[in-house]
Amino acid sequence: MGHGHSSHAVKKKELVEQDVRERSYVPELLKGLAITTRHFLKNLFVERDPNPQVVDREGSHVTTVQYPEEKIPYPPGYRGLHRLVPREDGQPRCVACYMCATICPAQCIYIEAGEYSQDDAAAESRVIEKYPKQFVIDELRCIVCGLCVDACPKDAIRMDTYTHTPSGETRQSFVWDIPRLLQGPPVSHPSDPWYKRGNSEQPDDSHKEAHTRVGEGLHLGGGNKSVEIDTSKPVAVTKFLKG
Amino acid sequence: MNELIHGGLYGGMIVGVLMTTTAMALWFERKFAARMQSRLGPTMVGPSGLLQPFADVVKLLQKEDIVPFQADRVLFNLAPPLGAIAAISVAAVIPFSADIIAADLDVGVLYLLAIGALGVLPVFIAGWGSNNKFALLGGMRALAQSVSYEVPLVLAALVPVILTGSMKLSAIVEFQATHHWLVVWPFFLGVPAFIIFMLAMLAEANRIPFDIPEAESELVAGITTEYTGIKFALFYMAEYVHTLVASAVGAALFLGGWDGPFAPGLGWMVAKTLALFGFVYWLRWTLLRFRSDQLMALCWRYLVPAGVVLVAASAVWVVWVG
Repeated sequence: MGHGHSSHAVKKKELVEQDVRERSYVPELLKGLAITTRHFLKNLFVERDPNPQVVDREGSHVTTVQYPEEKIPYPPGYRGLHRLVPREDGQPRCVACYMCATICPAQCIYIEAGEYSQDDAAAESRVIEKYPKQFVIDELRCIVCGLCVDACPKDAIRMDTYTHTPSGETRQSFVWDIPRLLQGPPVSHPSDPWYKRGNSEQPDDSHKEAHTRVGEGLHLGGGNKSVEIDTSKPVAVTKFLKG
Repeated sequence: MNELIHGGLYGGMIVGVLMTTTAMALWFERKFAARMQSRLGPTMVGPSGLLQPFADVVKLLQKEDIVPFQADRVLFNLAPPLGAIAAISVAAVIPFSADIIAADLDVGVLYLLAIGALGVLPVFIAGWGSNNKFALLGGMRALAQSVSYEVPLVLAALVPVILTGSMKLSAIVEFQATHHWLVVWPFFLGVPAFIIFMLAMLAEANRIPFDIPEAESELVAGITTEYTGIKFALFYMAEYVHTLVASAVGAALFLGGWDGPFAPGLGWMVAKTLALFGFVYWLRWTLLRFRSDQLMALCWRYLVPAGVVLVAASAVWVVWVG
């Protein structure tokens, strides 16, 4: 295999300096065959480490992750699907202040506030004035910036589900309402009004610190489980679904 | 009449086996390549993705059959089946064992060279008929390449013909069975001739490292640019069949064909063919594509002179030594 005749003087010199062994192509050919054979044999006889969390795999060179069957958990601090954080009694911590809906650059949050009546039996009703009658996030609009989480004064919305928005077949199925958003372990803080005010049924010192730190959130999507979503009942919100 | 039935039966059998083998070869190549490149290859369809080629065929059958506007309809539609026929026809003279041979022609070597040379025609027809500059460039390259490599191919095929004194493929294998395989003795003639033969066959089949007519980084897909669905599949299949048949012919001419201890003849022939076939894939996933001028230099400056010397040396060997 002859070398190309370049008009470029330097290049020509380099090419001329190839020795006969190199130009005969045979040793280089054998080297190439040896490399492919080495890879082939190693990958053929050494089992691939199936643990998806192993990044630097021993043995086989194969690093393929068979995605839908195997999943690599998202790293700590991953901004995933929203959740509405529940109180100890299972109701959302949200007080319908509209902070998240206001800061949202994609305007994907829709809130309808309700008011607790003064004679409501629930203890919270005497210390919190508002609650969300409807709290809806259009996950198709959401740009996953996390500003809503930063804006929330009550730690009521978080993105620590460690899963991404699951796929769906209709636009309606991406509109998440309270029943679907309200998930995960309840959270309470010492500053919560139902602890601060005297009307609480619990003594002041009985609350427990339930901060979930970054990385300690839910692992709903981790492992091989996927989130079950009930899409049978459509969300009765028309804001995101015009025409 | 008897001969017709005999020929038809063997013909149908060989085409059936060839098609199945081609499908399996596709799977084999993809797995083989994946292992070399630290991937997994097909895993989903069937156990270890074994049924992937069949799924691919079904997919290609369903695809829309597009004939480009202003393409030459006759030539465009003629090329794919012609290519497949040219590739499969060579299999007629391959001696799979002492008994299994569809047409044991007295001019078997001549036949396979002639039909092999025919294979360039559909490639150029496709390049011309597509009315596409990339297809045309691919067709021109294929023409230059195939016509050039025809010369060393014929010269290399002449060596076993001279050494065994026959053009009949079964006689060539018989000679090797009673004497030595040609790559064993006289190895200084057999081995270089074998290497030249395989290189030229690779170039004829447009396999990497000689896949310049299809060079996807330069020519989109070369001659197959405008082809869709089953027509594309025919080209693709022809390439695999060509490689498979080339391996079988190489095994018969130089590696003693069906000859071998212990196992039945068919087994030896299949084993030798598949070994050569595997080696071709090994090369394919190791080497880069040659440049056009490098390819021509290899042919005219090295392979053709070597072939001429080998033919002359074979004649000398037969007259004075063998």
